Order: sequence, then C-alpha cells, then structure tokens
Amino acid sequence: MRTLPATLLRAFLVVGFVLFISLPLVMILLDAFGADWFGMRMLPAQWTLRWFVWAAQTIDLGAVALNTVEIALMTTVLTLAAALPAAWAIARYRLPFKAILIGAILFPRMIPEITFALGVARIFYAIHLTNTAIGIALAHVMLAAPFAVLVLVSTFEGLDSRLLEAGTVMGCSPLRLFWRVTLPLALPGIVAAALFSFLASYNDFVLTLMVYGADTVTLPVQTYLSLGNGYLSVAGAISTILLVPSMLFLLAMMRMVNPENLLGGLKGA
Amino acid sequence: MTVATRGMPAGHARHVLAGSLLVCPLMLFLAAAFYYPLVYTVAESVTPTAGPGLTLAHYTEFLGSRAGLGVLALTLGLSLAATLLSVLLSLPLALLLRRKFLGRRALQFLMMLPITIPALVGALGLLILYDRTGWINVVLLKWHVLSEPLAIDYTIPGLILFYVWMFFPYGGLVIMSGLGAIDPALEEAGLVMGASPMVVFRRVMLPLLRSSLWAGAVMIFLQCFGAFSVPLIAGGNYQPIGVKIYTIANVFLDWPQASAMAVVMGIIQGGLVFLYQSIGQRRRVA
Amino acid sequence: MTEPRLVLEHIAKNWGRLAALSDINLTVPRGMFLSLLGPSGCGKTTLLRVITGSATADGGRVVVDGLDVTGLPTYRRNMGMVFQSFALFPHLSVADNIAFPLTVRGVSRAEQQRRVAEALRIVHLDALAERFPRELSGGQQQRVGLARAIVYQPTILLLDEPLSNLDASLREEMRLEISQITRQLDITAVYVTHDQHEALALSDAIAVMKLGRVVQFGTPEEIYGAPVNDFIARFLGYANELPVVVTDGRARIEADNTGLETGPIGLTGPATAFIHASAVVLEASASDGPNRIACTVADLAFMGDHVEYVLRHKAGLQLKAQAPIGAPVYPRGTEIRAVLAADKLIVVPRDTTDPA
Repeated sequence: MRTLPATLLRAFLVVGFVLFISLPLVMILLDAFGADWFGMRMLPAQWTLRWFVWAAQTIDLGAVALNTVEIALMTTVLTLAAALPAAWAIARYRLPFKAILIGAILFPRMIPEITFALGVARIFYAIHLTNTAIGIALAHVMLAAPFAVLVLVSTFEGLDSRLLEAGTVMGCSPLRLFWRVTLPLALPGIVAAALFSFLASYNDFVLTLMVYGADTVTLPVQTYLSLGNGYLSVAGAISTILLVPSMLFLLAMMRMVNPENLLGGLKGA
Repeated sequence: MTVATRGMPAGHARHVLAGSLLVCPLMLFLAAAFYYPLVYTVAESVTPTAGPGLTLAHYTEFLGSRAGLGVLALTLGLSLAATLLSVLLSLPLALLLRRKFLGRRALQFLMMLPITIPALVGALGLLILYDRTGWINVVLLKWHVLSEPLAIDYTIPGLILFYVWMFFPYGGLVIMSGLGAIDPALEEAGLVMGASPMVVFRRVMLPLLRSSLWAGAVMIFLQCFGAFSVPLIAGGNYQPIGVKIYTIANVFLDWPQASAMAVVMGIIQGGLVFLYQSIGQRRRVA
Repeated sequence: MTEPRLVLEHIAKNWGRLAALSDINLTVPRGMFLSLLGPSGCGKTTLLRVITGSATADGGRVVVDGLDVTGLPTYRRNMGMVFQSFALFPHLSVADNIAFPLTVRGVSRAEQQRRVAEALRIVHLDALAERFPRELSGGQQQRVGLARAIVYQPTILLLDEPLSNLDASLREEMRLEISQITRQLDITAVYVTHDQHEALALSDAIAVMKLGRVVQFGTPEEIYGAPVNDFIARFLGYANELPVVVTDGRARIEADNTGLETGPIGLTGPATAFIHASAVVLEASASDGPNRIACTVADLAFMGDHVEYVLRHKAGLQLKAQAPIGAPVYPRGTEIRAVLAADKLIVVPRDTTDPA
C-alpha cells in the first residue's frame, strides 16, 4: 500500500488510535497537576501540586500510600512463601493429581472477583480480620498466587537438570545446591513472580473495597472515596501515584518481552 | 525433568509425599482464603432471608424477575456490543503492527496500557475525558463541531465505548499472536499467484485467523462481563451485574441475594473461561 | 527475433547502508533454466523477490517479454513461485490449493477441474487431490507447490531453494522431476540454490553470485571448467587449492617455488591452482614427470567406494587425494608422491572482493 491516499489514511488511523488510548491518561495527569482547568479550557491555566498537598494533609495520603505498599509487600512475601515450594513441586515432582492441582490454583482467576469477595468479606467480618493489613494481604494472596505459580512453574521447568546434576557431582549438598545454583538460575523468574504479586496487590480494588477499614485504606480505595466525595482533582492526584508501578512494569516488560507472548490479565480489577 | 525416584513403590510413595508437602502451604492458603469463602457464598445463596433450611428463592428471584433479567440483559448486551467493536478495532490494529516501522514499539506499548494500569485509573481518566464538561466536549464546542455538549458518561453508548477502551487489548494480543503464527510465505504465495492484497486477506488470512478471532472475542467478552470499576464509576444508573451485586450487598445488605447473583455470575464467567480454553485447545491441534 | 523472457537491468537494492544487490544485469531467453548460485547472503533470494515484486528494487528495471514491470505490483505479474517451505494453504485441500490461482483469475469450474487434474497428473499426485497439506510428506507437499505454480501457465517460474527442506534421498528424485517438468512444458525458470550439484545438473545457464553481484555467468560446463576466481572454484567443490605465482605462462607453487605443468594460463602474478581430489593420484616409487609433489600421509578414511587421503606437503600445504578400492593402501606417516594431473589443474585469479 504505497499510494498517497492509503498512507494518509494509515497515518490518520494511527494518530486517531494514539489519541484514543492516551487521552484518558493525559486527563489524569492534567487533572492531578492542573488548576483552573476542568470544564473550562483545553490546558490548565496553572500547574500546581496543591492537590497532592491537600491530600497529604487532609486525607493523609502518605499513610494511604504506605498502607498500599505495606500490604503489597506482605502479599509478595506470603505469595512467594507459598508459591515457591508449590511451583517447585509441580515442576519437578511426578504428582498424580497435578492437573487438578493446577486447576485449583488457577481457579481464583477464572471467576469474578466480586463472587468470592463477598464470602471473604463476611468471613473476615466474623473473625475480625477486616481493617487489618495482614487480613487484606491474605486475601490478595489469592489473586497473586495463580500468576506467581504460573511464572515459577515455567521457570523451574526451564531449569536445566544437567546443571543441577553437575552441581551435585561437584560436591554440593542439597541446601548448597539450592543456594548457589538453583536460586541464581531461577532468579529472573522469581523476580517476575514477585513483581506480579506486588502489582496485583497494589492495584487491587474490588476485594480491598469489601474488606478495608479506616486504618487500611489503600490508594485504589482512596481514589474511589475521593471521587465519591466530589474531589475530582484529588482523585486524579492519587491516581498518578497509583499509576507509577504499572507503568514502570510495562516499560520493563516492553524491553524484555514481545507483546504477542503476553496473555492473561496483569492488573487488579 | 523430574527428581529421580530411588527404587520402586516405597521410593515413589515418599516422592509423592514430599511433593505434596511442598504444595501444602499454598493449598492451605487457598482453602482458607478462597475456597472456604466461595463455599460460604454458595451456602449463603441458598439461605432464606429469615428462618432455617435451604431455598432457591434468591435464584428464582434473580432469574425470574424482570429486574434480575434486566441486569443480565444489560450486562450481556454491553459485553456483546463492546466485544464486537473491540474485535473490529483489534484486527486492523494487529495487521498494522505486523511489520517493523518507526514507532511500532510505542504503539505496542500504548496497546498494552489499558490492561496494565488499574481499571479504576483508566475508568477515572475516561470519566474525566468524556464528561459533559470534559476535554472532548470542551474542544468540540470550541471548534464549533457541536453546539451542545455530548452526553457520554453515564450513558449506554458511553459505557460501551469505555469497555472497548479497557478491554480491546485482550483480544488484540490474541489476534496478534495468531497473525504472527501465519507463515509469511503464505501471503507471498497468494500475491505471486495473482491474488490482490484484499483477496489474500479474505481468502488466506481470515480463514487462518478464525480461531484467534473467536478466542480473542471470548476473552474480551469475559472481561466485559466481569467489569466492575468502569461501570461503578461511569455507569450512572446503569448497573451491570458486578456493580449490582456490590450494591445489593453493601447498600441493601441483602447478602443472600447478592450471593445468589454472585454464584450465577461465577458460573457464567467460569463457563466462558472454559469456552476460551477449549478454543485454545483446538487451535493447538489444528 | 523474439523478446527475451526476462531482462534485469542495473538492479540495485539496499538494506540501509548495506548493498544487497549491486548492478545486476541478466538476460533470460525463453525456455531457459537459469540458476542463481551462491552462498547465504549473496542476494540470490532477494533478486528472486525483486523479480516477483515482493521486494522493491532501489534502482534498475525488470522487463518481462519487452514490458517494463518494475512498477507493477506482485499480483499482476503472472509469475509462478515454488517456496522452500512449500507455503501450501493449510486450510485448503490439495485440489483447492492448486485451483486457487485459477479461481482468482475467474476460470470456470469445469475448466478448473480439468487443469487441476492435469497438473496433478504432471506431478504424479493424482490420488491425493482431497487430502490436506498436513497429511502429506515433504516431497508430496513440494509437488503440490510445483503443480500450483504451473497450473496457470505463468510467464516465468521461480524456485527458491525448493529442495532444501527435503531429505537427501528425496532431493535427487525431486530434482529429476523438476528437470523433466520444466523441459516438458518448455518453462522459463529461475532457480535459486546454494548447492552447486543442483545448479550444475539442472541449468542451461548459471549466474554465480557473491555479495550482491553476479561474479560469473555461463553454462554449467563453462563455470565448472573455468571458474573466474578462487571463490567460485572453492564454492564448486574443488578440494585442493594451492597458492601459486604465474610468470610467463608458467605457475610455481608459492610456498617452495616448485614448477607446475598446467593447461594454458591467461594471467600473471599471484593466483590459485585448483584440482579435484579425484585427479590427484598417489605414487609410491619416484618417477619422473611434472607435478609430482613429495608428501606424507597425514590421514586416510574409508569412504565406501573410495579411500580419501589427506596429505601434508613439507611446506605445510595440504592435499586431498582419492584412491579406488583395490589400490594399495598407504598408512599414516608413509612418504608418498602426489601426482597432479596436468590437464585437470586449473589456475584462476584470486578473488579481490571483500571476503563473504
């Protein structure tokens, strides 16, 4: 298609697409950093950080951010603690019930979050686990674990047995082997699983919405609350902080992986 | 690639035991924090609002009432419309992104954006952009394309548009991978044999893309069906099933009713996942 | 006088700063079977794709039957192509694959069936019309590819290393079929390969390519008997090469100044002498005569129908010789004389272009 009208059409479509995708996000930025803008003009009259300051002072944005990170870190640790041995077993042991096992692990991602969020909320309420960071983290593990297990199983399956065998032949005890050979080889996969877990927890909305409390407001929840109260710009400001890990993650992934090979959701609902 | 077992039955049993122990922590987590709540929800869905025993009243209430069916119709209708538009968007996009050109990486990055960022943020951005006093309307009014602002937020067409923005990359990725699997020599062969690019697309590529298109469509539909943040924020009075469940649980505190709806939603969505995977199986065999 | 089927004038193509093709000029008369022969990266496949239009030349013209087709898109050039990877449409049966170009041209159903049956007959696949490509062997798939490429009587048939994806045993068989069919149908063909045996066996003419240029053009006999430089000789499989210096029509081995007797030499200065292993004979006793080189047997291997010797010359040169079964066998370390048949010893200039 080298004709001029075809090329123009293509260019037009590309520009249209770029605008279509990026404008909503640009709006977030304008909303967060602009004043005297919404509803009035194309670009803000002033650029300001006042919404962040306001949020920090009035709704304690710092604490909210801290909560989110804290919970996400807990989720990551818990997920890895459970997923590492499980993935190792799945990848390298001959278990008769493997297919069922994998199905059971991936199932949380196959049904809507709200469906089991209801049950989680009720149970947490009954055992007073709502409004605790550890409670929320536990719930998030369910969302993070399927991904973590998938990535880790693939990593562990990809470990060259011959390298491990060589290590043993050269005199490594099982513990030493794990520490000096297995771990370094599996590190990229483990890092990926950790990042997935962190992101799944950091971004999560539905589940958190059902089990949060005054002390455990996370960034997604706060965004929703601020929006509900009519503070559009504050919601925008909080969103920019919410965006950071996802964007970094995407940039990192783009550098390493071909988008065609990525399937399945990466974010929290 | 498995750890070798030493000797016969005894060694094998120990092997399985060791493996099972490794899997235990995760399975305990799952049982406690996922399967138990799920069972609880199912149990709650058959609990009468008052009194003991079991009942299917909540289900009949949901599936038998106008309101209930209306919710399903809304959800399915939105999902269907958004899926159709998304596929129509993904296909030319996937074709465009096939060959290397300046900015291809950037376009791929953009395409991944809606599914990588939290849905809530995307929904907020869409809300702001398409508001009656939002940027789009401001610009269109300024340039005299419109004389009155366009209502997009909180409308059905608007919601469909938002769904497309949020979920089309799921299909796009599937279709792109399907396109990549087609041998480029096939296209070349078609052209050399005298078929114009349009004919090659219609008679060579589309047939080979069929299962990718279906898989992509199912994937998009799945996501639309389960949408929560977008309709919550930008749906206005329209409440598809996810939001409806939340409202009934948290606002009306009718947990049994919400649970019944959640179970129905879960079954439908689970069925769609199953459908997606069986299409995937067929792709690999063909 | 009829127009040549295909003329390439000053074809050039660049990948960025790299010249994939530089100033290619070729004339292909009707009915000729031309091979483009060369190592990977020499541009032969690129040239093929310039002919079909799948690749655009940055300079030059492609002329078919007197008409400039350079600007014509691929699907209007009415050429046929056989692919290395077969490129059969997996979703169509064999018959539908072959009928595809006919349907595109609006040929009637009845006529389609007739022509498809005819094409299947030519490639000996009559019984497989309703099968699908995935059910066929490699050789069968390639035959379908061939049938599909000729069923609409293209002006030129292009073949891109069609035998490379076949087992060695099949290759010979398919090569013969291609030869027979193209001759039978009087097709003008351009054949791309890196295998000199294929090129020599199939072609009326060969264009040897290196780094985007045609370095020699001629009949198989001309190319084989008189390669224009050492790169081509090496590529054609001359096992022995000796750096020599030519003065006054006589060649001397560069390493130790031994004189060599050869056919007439038309050049002076540094050059390379080539001879096949089969033209080097081993002689135990010292006899007089030209081209006798004292060597030691470094290695020998039983090759089934002959014994292959690796000989080391005192100046460090290596020679390969072949001896028939039944001749005396000389173990490693034997001092021996290698006799180079004077009429089989060719002297060619050294290739001065950049190394491939």
